[in-house]
Amino acid sequence: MAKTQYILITILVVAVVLGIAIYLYTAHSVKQVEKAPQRSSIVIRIGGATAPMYQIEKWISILEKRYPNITVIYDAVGSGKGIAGFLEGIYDIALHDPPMPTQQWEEAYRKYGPLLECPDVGGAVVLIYNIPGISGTLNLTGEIIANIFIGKIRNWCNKEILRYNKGLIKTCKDHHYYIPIIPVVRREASGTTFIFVTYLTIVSNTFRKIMRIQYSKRGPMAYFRPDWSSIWREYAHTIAYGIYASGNYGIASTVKRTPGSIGYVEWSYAIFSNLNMARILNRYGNFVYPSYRNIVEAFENAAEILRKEKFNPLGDLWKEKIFEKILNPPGNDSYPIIFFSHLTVKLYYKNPLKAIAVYRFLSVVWSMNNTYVRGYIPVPKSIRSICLSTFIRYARVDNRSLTSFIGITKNS
Amino acid sequence: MKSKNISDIFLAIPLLISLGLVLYFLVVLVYYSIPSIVSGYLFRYEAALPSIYGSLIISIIAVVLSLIFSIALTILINEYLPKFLEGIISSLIDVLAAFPTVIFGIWGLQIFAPYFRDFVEWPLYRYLGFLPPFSYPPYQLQSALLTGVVLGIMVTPFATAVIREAYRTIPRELRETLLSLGAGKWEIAKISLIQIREAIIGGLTLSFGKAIGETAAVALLIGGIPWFCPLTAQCEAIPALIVSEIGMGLMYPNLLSALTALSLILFIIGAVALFGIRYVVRRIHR
Amino acid sequence: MVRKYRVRDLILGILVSTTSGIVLSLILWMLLTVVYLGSQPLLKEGIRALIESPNVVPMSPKIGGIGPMIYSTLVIVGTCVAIGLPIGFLTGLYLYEHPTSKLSRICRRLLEVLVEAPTVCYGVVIYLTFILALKEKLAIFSSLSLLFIIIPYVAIQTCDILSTLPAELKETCVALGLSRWQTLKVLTRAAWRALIANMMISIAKVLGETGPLLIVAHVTVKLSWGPWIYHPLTSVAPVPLTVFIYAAARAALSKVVMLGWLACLVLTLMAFGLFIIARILSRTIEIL
Repeated sequence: MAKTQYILITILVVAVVLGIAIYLYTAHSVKQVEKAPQRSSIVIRIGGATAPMYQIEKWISILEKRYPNITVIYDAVGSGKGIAGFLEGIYDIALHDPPMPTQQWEEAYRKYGPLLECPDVGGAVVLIYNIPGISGTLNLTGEIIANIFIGKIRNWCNKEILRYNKGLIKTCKDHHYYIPIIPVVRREASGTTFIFVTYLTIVSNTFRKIMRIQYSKRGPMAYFRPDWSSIWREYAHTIAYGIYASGNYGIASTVKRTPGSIGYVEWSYAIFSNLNMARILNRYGNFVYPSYRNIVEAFENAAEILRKEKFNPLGDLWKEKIFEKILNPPGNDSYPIIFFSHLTVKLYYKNPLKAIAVYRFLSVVWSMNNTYVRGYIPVPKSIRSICLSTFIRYARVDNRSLTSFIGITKNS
Repeated sequence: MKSKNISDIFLAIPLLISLGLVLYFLVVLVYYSIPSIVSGYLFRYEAALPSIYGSLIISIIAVVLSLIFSIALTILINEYLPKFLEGIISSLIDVLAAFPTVIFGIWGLQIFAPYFRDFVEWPLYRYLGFLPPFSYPPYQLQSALLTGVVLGIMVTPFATAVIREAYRTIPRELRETLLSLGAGKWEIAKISLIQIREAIIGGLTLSFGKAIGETAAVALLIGGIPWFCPLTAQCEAIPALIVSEIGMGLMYPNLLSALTALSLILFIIGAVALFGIRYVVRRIHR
Repeated sequence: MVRKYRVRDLILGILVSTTSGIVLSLILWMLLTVVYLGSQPLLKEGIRALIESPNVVPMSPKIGGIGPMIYSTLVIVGTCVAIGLPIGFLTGLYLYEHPTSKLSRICRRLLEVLVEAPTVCYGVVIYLTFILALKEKLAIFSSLSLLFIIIPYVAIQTCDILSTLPAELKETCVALGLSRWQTLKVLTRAAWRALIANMMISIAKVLGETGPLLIVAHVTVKLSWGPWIYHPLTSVAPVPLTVFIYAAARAALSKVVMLGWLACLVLTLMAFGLFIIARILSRTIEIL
């Protein structure tokens, strides 16, 4: 073997080792972890809805900056998988837009003991659209939206739509009165879909009938993931009607690049992706644009309704069907499709570090006031304080109350 | 050398570990698949059969494309190209054989798909839309055809490497004889390919195995809707189905078992394709 | 008669060039995109794009980097290679030493099946047996699922490479009265280039593997540096590069997609680097 090859190999090995060493050293010095003793490092795993994604990520960055020994992993996989993963034990915190369905809640209760389920942030579902050449904003009624997504209305130049949208008439004339509508729906079990579909059942009789049949066959999952294909086969006479996208961002990006499409996303996605949002007819008969003012008004009116409900974060929130009651709230300028996104945590822990880390995260979520990202509305202060105090009171580590740990380890 | 001594036993430990690994894999797959077969859930699972269909469709498209491309590349390299160019392209192909496939997926989805949809799928729909495979309007970026084409590109370097190696083993005398008989490149290429047809079939079988087992690129490009899809529609393949549905394990009883059964089916299809075809070819040539 | 051949040659030439041209240009398009888009974060942030963690806040112009992802890949692939290469190599030695024993033949057949198997099955197996039981997606499980890929490949390749050594070598060793271990040492040293080259290729294979990781690791775009780097094998699964690329391909923010391209570039360079080393080694194969 020639000497050159030996030298070459040695140089290579030394270079690789040196490179890795330098890399690790720089990486280490980037993150200030000198304060945190290594033994108290802990990871929280959050999984679930994509709707509150921007807000959750903001909270995660605040938490990680404040407590460097806590690392958070957030899987934005959709409410259905969030709940399933929580049941499996893969996630410590489940995020889901509607409250956990009773069957899953009871199963989790049997597995983990008492649970805390609370809203973490409020949001709105907006209809985004992409119609080339439209002037002005699109106006839609609940009935029209339902008929579009069912497949009864397949053309943007339909009489019903044109009645409310004079700005479309010129474009329609240019396109010979035929611009096909392409609805974009979610592929996976999604809480945003749940809220949207529930709203449609309120405002459209046809849709309510369809969903009743699907619910009787499949239970709550029929709302998380409706069988759009069979609906389209029946009403649009073709399965080839809509596009399936994955995640809120999937719908946003698909609508952005597919002319003629319409989709439903959480408000923040429309803002950050610069998409046109439609005005929707609210309960008082006004076409309302999802602006900050209108959504806040809707939430204020919803708070009135909530005040009358008894709110027990330790109980099964699904039974009260509050998410249905706050949809289409009263108010002149209330935006109709609003919702609270929920999170579920365990109350009984074996590892004190994890319990403390979860507590820190929950305190960022519920006790900080100026951390809200555009596209989200804070949960009413009264509910937030009930949630946090309930957690503090009832959380246990190995049968000892959490408060004893927090008192002792106040600075870790 | 046949005597058993300490070094033998010492050397046998890694072997037993490897053997154990393989058996563990097979046993777990079979064991966890049984509940869904026994309870019939697998046969009632609506996504099962369409996913198998989707996997087969995209793999067949990929193999057909890679057949065309790899033969073309082999002929190009061996018959037409000057020496220095041959070296570069050969090296490129070798590198791509073990390339991270998810890069094909992200390129396919972000960059290639819009052009493919507008310049290939739309014309197909417009002019050949009366044929069932092209009867779905391609508004969406993801489709079975796109996946098949990108998989074909992905798998071509591997098939080319295999065929090219076999091409090199053709004895020089054959080539010289043909040349002395006055044969042109066409004849030489045709006869050489016939000589190595076993290798071509072997290479294609390996490509089929690779294509059907590919996960990341398929999951990104295929759209995830399990039905007996026309080529220009969103489809579902078994690896993509497993990746997206395995998180829902505890929402439905027997779902995990059904997914395991599907991955077992995938494994069997891959193994059958690999060994079955080789066996058949060997039998034909006895 | 000559003209007929020439025309046919020309037609074949055109067909072949067009077809090859199509596929080569598509592949080239992909590589150029990786280089072009992958270098954007480097141009914007410099070397920090390889060290920091991704920034997923929509309004801020800061892009962040893919530091934790590179580290995760090094840890997962490193562990897998550290466990898998020795086992694979020694298994290959056994297969070479006892080519006719029944155990050998069965094992070899099974390993051949495993080499070509769809990789997502490995993820499913690890998920079912480890993750559901332990309820944590640990980094070691990712390495375990990759073992199924590296061990059969290295074992079969080792056996094949040693088999291509001329028989006289082994006979000489036996004639000189060397023990089995010494014989193996000589043979290995004789074929060390090809063996190392194949090991490099196997590392490249594992580096680019995504299938099992999509099930066994967290598919997410954001992972920050934290004390988990001190105990990488026991804490929750970090996000390796391939999984990050998959998540970034469908991500919401365009800057995250840009980081995904950077990850592609890093992966490509790693794969190319390993391949170049393998090429250098195997091009000069000599026996002693």
